[in-house]
Amino acid sequence: MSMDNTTAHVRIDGVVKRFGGTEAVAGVSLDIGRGSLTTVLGPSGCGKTTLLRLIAGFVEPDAGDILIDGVSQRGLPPYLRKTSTVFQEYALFPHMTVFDNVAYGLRLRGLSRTALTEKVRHTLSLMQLEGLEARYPRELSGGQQQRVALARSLIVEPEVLLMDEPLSNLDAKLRVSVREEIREIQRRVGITTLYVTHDQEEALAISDTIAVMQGGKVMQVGTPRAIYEQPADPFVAAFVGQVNLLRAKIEGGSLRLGSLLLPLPANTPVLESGEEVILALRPEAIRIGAGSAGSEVQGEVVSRTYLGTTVRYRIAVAGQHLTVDDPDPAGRPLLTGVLTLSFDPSRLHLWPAGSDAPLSHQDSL
Amino acid sequence: MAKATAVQAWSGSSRVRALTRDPLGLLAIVFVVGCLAVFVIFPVVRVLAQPGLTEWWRLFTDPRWLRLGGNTFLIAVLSTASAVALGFLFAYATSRPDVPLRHLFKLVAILPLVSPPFVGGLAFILLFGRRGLVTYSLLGLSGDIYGWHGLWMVQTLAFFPIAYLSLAGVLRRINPTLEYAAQDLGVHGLRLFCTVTLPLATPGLASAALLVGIYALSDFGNPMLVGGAFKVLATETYTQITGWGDIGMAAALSAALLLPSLVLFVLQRYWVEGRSYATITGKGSFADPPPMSPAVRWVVFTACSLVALVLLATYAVVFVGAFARTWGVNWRPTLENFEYTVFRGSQLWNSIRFAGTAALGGSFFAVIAAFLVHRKRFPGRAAVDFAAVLPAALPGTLIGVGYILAFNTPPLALTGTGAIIVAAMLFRTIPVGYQAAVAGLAQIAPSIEEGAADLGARPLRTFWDVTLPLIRSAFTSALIFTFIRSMNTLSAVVFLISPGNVVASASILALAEHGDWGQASAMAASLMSAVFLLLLAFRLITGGRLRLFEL
Amino acid sequence: MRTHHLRWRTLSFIGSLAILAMALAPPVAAQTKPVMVYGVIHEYTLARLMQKFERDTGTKADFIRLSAGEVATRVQAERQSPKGDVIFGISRAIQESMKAQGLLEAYKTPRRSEIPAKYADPDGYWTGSALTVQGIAVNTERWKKEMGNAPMPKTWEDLLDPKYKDLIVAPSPLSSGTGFTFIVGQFFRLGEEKGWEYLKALDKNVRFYTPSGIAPTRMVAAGEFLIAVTFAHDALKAISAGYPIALIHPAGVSWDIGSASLIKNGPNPEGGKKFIDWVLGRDPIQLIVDLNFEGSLRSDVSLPMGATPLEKLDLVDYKLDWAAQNRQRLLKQFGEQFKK
Repeated sequence: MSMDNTTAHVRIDGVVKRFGGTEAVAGVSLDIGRGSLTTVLGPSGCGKTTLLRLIAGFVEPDAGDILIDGVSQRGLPPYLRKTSTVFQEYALFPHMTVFDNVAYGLRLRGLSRTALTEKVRHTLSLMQLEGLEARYPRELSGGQQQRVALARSLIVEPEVLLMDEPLSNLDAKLRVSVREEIREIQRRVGITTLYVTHDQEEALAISDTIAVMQGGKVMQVGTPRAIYEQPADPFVAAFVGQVNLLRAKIEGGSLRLGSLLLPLPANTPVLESGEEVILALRPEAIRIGAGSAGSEVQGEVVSRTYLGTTVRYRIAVAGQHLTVDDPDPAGRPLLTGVLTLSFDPSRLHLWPAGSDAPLSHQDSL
Repeated sequence: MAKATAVQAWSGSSRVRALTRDPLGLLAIVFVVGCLAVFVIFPVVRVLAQPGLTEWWRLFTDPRWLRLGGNTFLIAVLSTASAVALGFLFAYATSRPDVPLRHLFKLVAILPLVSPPFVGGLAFILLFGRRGLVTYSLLGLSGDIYGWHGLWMVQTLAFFPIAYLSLAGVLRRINPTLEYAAQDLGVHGLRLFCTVTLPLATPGLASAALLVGIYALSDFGNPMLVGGAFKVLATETYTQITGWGDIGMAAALSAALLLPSLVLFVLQRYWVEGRSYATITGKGSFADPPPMSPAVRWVVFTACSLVALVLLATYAVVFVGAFARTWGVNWRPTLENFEYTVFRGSQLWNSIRFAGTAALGGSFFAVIAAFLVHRKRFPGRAAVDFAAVLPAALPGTLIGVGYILAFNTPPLALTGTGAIIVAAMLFRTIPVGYQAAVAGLAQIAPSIEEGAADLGARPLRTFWDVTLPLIRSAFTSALIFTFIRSMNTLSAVVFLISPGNVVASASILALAEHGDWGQASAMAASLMSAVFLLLLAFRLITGGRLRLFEL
Repeated sequence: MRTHHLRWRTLSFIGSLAILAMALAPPVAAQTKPVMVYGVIHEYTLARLMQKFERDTGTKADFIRLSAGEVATRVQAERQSPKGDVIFGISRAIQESMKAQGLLEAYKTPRRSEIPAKYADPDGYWTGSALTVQGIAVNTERWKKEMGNAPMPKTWEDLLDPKYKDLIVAPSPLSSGTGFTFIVGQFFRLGEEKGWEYLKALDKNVRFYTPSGIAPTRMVAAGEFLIAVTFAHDALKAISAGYPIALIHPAGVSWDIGSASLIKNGPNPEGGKKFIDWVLGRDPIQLIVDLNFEGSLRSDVSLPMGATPLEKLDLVDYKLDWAAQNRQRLLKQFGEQFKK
């Protein structure tokens, strides 16, 4: 989470922002590495957009500070900060052509006409927008508008690029290809980027670092892999990817799950007997069929959904429900009745039940 | 190292800090607040402070004032009712595609708006007076149009365009699918109209009535010309000043007019405005409403045609009178009437330059004020917002009296100059420009302006590059409206004219009162022509992308 | 391209500023400062006068036409810093009260010697320019139609005949000099008490009192009404324009002197004096007579066309002082008693 000053390009330090009586950002500290694409991931209302706007300078924090290259941004209006924002609705100037939109930032910086034209043309070709210079935003498709917005932001060579859910207005198929383009460009240009989204697949796909936010706080920061495979708490586990959340109890040195007694996974923190815990187990970590001793449970099929690539089963185990995916069902009949499930204990995550993860997440699976 | 500077609490003074970061914005706020305080609030306060206790006492007890108050109320109610009805008729007719000549009706309906309001009165006498063209020369009738009935007719014709504009907009926004649905359920014709169309239009009707009411209450020129023995408060204010020299009483009378105006204004703005039954989903992408039955269609058409005929005759007669040697006696065409009134007089030029200045200055001011109130945060925003639209509730005579009282002595001794006339014209019409700009601003997503700032544009730059171009149509409509209204305004400026600074509208009234019909008509015709020509020129320059009065 | 927009916007902005500057700047001043005239006579005549003044003397004169009451109010309101230089054409009674309030400045123009002494203020506060007499105006066309061969009214008392109900229109003394001259004329003719009685009786036949002095004449000319209380010059003007009017001078006709005065502390007193000296000369007076049909005080100016010579008229004994002193009281009483 913390790097020392010399490598963190952007440092967010204990920032608090209140609107009315609520704390939209409740004490966030985060370091953003130079040249990295850091994603702030969270559900709507978690404060991620506010955080982005704090960095851009559209709002000022009530407490804490934001530093870019060690320089405090406090009191600096947006037009003096070296950040550039791509807005969710693109915010292109409707009364200007594509050319003028992209050129705007350079005009403000007083470039000569020839240099400006040169740069704009170059950027437009970079974004595959040649031939569209004279068009107006209303004449462009969603994907094209998005690229113009990106071009407009990149051409001024900011220190930090801020992107606020840039893909949310595109349709599903387009999102995938565009996000890859964005990643590609970001890598090529090497610009430090803060990317805000609620789409966890997007975050996993393109980020160097993910910071998961909820209720104005950062819950976990790490690489996509770390976030997914070692979630810090039930919320992160449930928000990023699918997960089964179960309630269990410590009994002696084992886990009591209804009528089952399971061995405690290694690395479990020391817990007292009788303490309630929450377990997390990803569906893909569960196999249908027998496994090694100590890692098997029995359950009854409650429902099954054929999804083409998998069959998704809901299985009742020890009074709770598990979601299990059976991959590549081609040719095989759908299962029913009582099944044996097995899993790798090392993939079982466990937290004391005091963690505030609503078990309703389980129902959303 | 960074940690040491990091955690420092920010207080709520971040707002003030934000203000001081933008000195130009702060200056603009101070300027706008100052202007509104001096030119809108101060005169009103001055008027209310002028009358002594005796004057206030007299206002409420003197039978003469009570009678006048009753008169004013009566004629306001009558004229409002008929003007709204007529406006609704026109709005209804022009909203149905199966009414013939509806584009002509649209044009005719806004004619009274581009001419001085009392030209209607003048023309009425020329047409329907004793020696009127219609009553005397054509029909040989003898009757007396002076009095409340004549005034009622004149005011109805003069003010129905206001109701028309408001109602046309309302009707246009009602989803015609509702009428189809009703018909589908078995309701049609009159029953459909009464149970579906009318109720849907009710907020619009209420709104139009309140707007027209304010005009009817403060009408000054028409009662002077046509009222006869039927006197109203607005004209009495004039008499108090010109005859008695009793500014205190005049102020009290103006204040008496202010209260009902304010009530109407507040009702319209805060109560009715909110209750709109319009479906707000894009513009004009609706299907046509269902066709009307032929009987209804022809009744509507005939009624509108009659009114249109009368209106066109009204303006035609002014032009005829302008060129006639002596009205009713000698119809020989001549240019005499124009000679000393237009060709060598300064009144028309004064009107043009004052109105032009007021229009330009006022539009800028309105746009800037709207921007400041709706894009910046500063204490007292709501008060500024109110002050900017308040003039719509102020009767013209009150503004006139207020300005003489307020600006007669240093530090702001403006009486006797052209500036005071410009100021009265400008601040009188601020509300329209302001509200147009506010509506325009509301359509600009905040992120667009943020985008400009994000790219490095300072606030003034953002305003110039992004905000202004996007509210250009609001600006131009403010410009046009202010110009027209200022050219034609009478009640506000009649007390403010001085040698060298006489405007055409005041001159027309003086000439008409003197019975110089020829010259009065010449001046009126020139005034209307000037307005029309300048509008045409403006439209040509701006390439015809004007949305004027929803035309 | 953006540059196109930019240029458009900048151009229109600069253009607007230019127009603003041009429009607000006062019209190009003449070599000398203009003279500001508050005139009570006919607007058109005033316009012609000002233009002639400028032609004859090279000095610009601006005017504003106001009714007598308006002038009094305006000068009073402006007394701290007067904006006018000269009052012209106003009723003497009002001028007297303004003199009493200290709003005027004495100026004994050399023209005083050219008119009979009684037509100028002994102290020099006003100098007469024209003689105006009142009378009755009747619309002859309507008379023929509605009254047939009946004789037209010859005396003021004839007007009280009930057959004239709602057919008479008169000027209101509250806002017009004409009206005031009329009612004091009745007081001078009958004495105040009987004068009020007369007015009350006449009120039954009066349709309404007009705010401006000339309106009754205008309305009768147009045929709106049958009979008007009028100044002779207003009626004569209408007659010369071709309107069917008969002008009758009953016994005991009220009259007034239109005059010129210098306003105290006006912005251009030298110009004001120049104007007064000029306007009382033969040519300007002749112009007023020709255009306005008012009677002249100068012996070298001809009578207006159609006017009755002075010797043939029975003028009331107009006591100027009394009229001036009692003006406020009389007006108040009128306002309370007469509602039309």
